[in-house]
Amino acid sequence: METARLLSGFPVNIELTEVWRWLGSHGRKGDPRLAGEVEEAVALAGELIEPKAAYSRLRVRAVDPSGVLLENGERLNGSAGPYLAEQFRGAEELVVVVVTIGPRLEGRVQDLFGEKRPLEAVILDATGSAASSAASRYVNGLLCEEAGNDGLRAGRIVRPGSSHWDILGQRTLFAMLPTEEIGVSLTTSCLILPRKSGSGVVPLGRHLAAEHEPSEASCRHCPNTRCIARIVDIEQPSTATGTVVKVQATQ
Amino acid sequence: MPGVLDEIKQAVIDGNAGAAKELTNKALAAKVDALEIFQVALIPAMDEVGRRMQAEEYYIPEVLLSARAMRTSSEILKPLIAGNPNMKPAGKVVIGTVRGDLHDIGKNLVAMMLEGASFEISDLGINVTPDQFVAKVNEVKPNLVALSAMLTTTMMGMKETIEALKQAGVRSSVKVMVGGAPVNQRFADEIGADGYAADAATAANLAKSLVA
Repeated sequence: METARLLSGFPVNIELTEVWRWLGSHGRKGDPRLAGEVEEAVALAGELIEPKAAYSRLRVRAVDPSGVLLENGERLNGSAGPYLAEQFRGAEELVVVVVTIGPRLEGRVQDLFGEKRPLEAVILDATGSAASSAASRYVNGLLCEEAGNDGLRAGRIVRPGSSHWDILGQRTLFAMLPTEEIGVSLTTSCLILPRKSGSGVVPLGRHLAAEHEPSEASCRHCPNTRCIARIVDIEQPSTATGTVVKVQATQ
Repeated sequence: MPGVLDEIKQAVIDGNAGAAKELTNKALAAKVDALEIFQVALIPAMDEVGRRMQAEEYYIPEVLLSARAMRTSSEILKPLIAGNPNMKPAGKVVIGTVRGDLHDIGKNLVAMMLEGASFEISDLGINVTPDQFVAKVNEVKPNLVALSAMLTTTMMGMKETIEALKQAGVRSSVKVMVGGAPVNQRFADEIGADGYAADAATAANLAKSLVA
């Protein structure tokens, strides 16, 4: 049995540029005709989102070419094994994390489609995606900070459903966290509900071997603000202000 | 009165719903036939919007602005052309996200673009079983079945749906098109679909070519 932590009510900074990115702007300036709608959607999202997270730090027993073996006996392997092995080389611990902004925003998106307002629906959905990313970044920043306090560095977050890891990997992650405590579940097809949620594992270690190690410090000084691996915003405060409670994860 | 038709077309392309409404009313006041407005201004406008989307000149919000402008105009026109024997849809489409998958944004956008291209849409929503697709095909006798999936774990639901259409004896009466993040042309070929579209604009063009 591992100690999991639940976090709620933390700040989520939705950036307009991120909303435009999720709308598919591909780096172009957002259409000024839609600026008002986007700003309205960001304001509405602020009322609708309910950011929550569950995470747990677990000891790594071994990393071999087939994947990662945890102290609790769980294995992260399969098709992602070699990639995970590369990312986790030198890892002493990992953090398994699930973050959500809750179901209310996507419920409103459904309503807008039902009301034949697809433009507003799509803009709010993109705003939800930006909010979900921002929530993940906040929590990742917090994890980095906690790891740093213990003399550990955090590596790149690896997510099931990404190009490196089959979505079936969600089952392993969800087995390690009390996600029901934050209102998050997994369907039989490995879709996370609410949909505006994310999951992943982050390697922690004093001597991580992975080439890409976006510690909070390195991100803070990196000029590439559009980097998809960025784990903390330059402007974002690094101190967590959310409510943290400790619970026991069922394993 | 080609001038006002061009202006309506441009208003839709520009996503200007106010102008589209005003110009549509102006054209009707000038005794321009409602069907002509639909066929000469609105549908070509959405064709152009689709072309711009494929050329990456427009992205989704701009397409939606144009769709809103078209809807504003077509809501004025529809009562006037209802029952007109010359107003024939480009075809009928049954669309849905396959079993186990709850994503609907992409599917909704495809449905909207198809509607803009004058297709009649029966949207079954999300998490649609093969049997539900078969039942709807038997009910509305569509030209096309459009299947959406966003997960590697659900994309085989497309194959199951095509198999169900075969078993029900209706596969040869419809064309099947597929789309979604994990789907590609190779997968479409492997499961016996008739076409694959990477985005909503491509889907509209594909649908038109499949029913031609």
